[in-house]
Amino acid sequence: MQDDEIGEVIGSSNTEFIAESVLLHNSPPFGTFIKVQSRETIYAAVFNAYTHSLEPNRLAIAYHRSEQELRDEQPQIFELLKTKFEAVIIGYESEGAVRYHLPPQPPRIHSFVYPCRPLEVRRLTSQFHFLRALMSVERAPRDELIAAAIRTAYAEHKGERSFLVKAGKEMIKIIGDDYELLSSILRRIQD
Amino acid sequence: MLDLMEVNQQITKMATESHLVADDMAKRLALAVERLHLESARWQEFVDKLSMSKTSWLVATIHEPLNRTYGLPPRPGTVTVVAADGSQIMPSHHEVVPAFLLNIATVILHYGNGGGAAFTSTPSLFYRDEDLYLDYGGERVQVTGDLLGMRRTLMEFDGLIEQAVAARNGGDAVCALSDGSLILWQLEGRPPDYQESMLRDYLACLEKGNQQGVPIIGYISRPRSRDVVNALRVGLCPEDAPNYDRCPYEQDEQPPCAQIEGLTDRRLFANLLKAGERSQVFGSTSRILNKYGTHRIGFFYLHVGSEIVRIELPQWVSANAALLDLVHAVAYDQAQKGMGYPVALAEAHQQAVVRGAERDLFYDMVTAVFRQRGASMAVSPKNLRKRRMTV
Repeated sequence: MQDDEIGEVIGSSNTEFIAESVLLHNSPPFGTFIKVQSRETIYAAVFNAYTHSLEPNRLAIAYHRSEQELRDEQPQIFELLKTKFEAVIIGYESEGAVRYHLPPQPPRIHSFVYPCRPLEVRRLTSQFHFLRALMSVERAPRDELIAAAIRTAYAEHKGERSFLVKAGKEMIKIIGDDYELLSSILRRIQD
Repeated sequence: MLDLMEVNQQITKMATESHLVADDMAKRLALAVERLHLESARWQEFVDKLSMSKTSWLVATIHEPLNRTYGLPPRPGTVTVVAADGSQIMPSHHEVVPAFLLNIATVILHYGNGGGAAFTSTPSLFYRDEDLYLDYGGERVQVTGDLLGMRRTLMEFDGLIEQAVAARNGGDAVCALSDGSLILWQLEGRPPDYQESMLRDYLACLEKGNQQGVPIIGYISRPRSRDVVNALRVGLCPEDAPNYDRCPYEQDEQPPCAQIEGLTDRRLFANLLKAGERSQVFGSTSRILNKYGTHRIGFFYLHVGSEIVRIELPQWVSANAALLDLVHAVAYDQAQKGMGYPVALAEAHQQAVVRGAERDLFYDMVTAVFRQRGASMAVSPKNLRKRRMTV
């Protein structure tokens, strides 16, 4: 069974891609795992989402009405807005196995994007290589992103304390002596 | 190159002169308003005088006192508004092929039921001889300018009615908006077979609207018409039955009817209507309307808040009180939603418009396809030169 797609790739590079959300205001949550069905299945973590006007010369303005009122009385607005989201690539699947490095080719434009299933999240996060990819993101607060991804992963490793312990050890390796960053991430995981 | 210094001087001169004109217009307006109330008080006699007069102008047909106004009726909670617009890439002999393209857009906006919005934009390429040329009064002429505009109007109307009827079948009240006049005066004086064929297609669209109970209106922003002012000019004539062929004041420096000449109805009704109000439905004496049958077009002026607009509508809409209220309420509401201009028409324009860059891209695509097929097509030297200037 194939899941329904949640987006379509409209821009991509070796390390990141951007997708247009199928539904307005319904991008996959920050720090969750998604996949693209391209040549290979490519896995990524969401680090940004935004909604804006479809046409560059048309600005959104305040109408001072509730969303329901707008949907009733200014329905065209919702045809002219698009939600987009950006994700950092953390690995891909090749010959049945998850590879924890960048795919040989970027995701193809117009490929569909799907959410990762619980089992896929478990497989992806059974190793902590994805943390290194998240560290490379410059356009999102790293502590927020890493903490959100670990919370997402922990939810699928149902209550395994050992998962959190391993994650902590891996972070120390990657982050080194940036105590500020480390404690900021740990604080955000605990909340 | 435009000499901006020179232009600037001429703009200053223009501004000074238009200031003088504005003073004069204010005086004319005061006189016209006074006349309007006067004729309203004895409007039946005025109607008689109008019917006996003979002028070279378009004179509004009136049915009640001129100063009668109608307040804004409530808009139905749920209503669907449909609009259409089109644009074109004109045929050019300087390009690789003399083809032309018409892009027709429609907008369907569902109000009050969360039905959302739908846009369409449909390009059609015309390239065959029978598309590019037309049998026009026994002559073979190229479809360009007005003829192309007419074809576009018909295609817009087809799209408009198709979407409106589809929306109507969904059960909602529907109002169809068209940009500009419903009076095809440009067909006057055209070869009879051409005129007949265009009118037949146009009126068939109106008839479909009539059958389905979908009112169709033409929305004219900043109208320049003077049908009502012209009626008042007839009122100013001291003759019992004014006849422009035998005008006794012809040699006068200022004939009586010239006292309010140059005024537009828009200026007049800006003095009479409050926001949301409309005038009575006037009749038009445009000659082409004699061929409209049951679809004869009338019009009213409406104060939409930011301006006075002219709304044109077929007889079967104005004769039906419910439909008349519907178009009055929808036209006003649309202008509010669109900050002065109907949101449905503005969006239809956005969907239809072909920008300069898209036009260039279109010809690039045409050229590429012909090249791939080995045809030796070429852009004219004149056009190439325009694209690439050198020093």
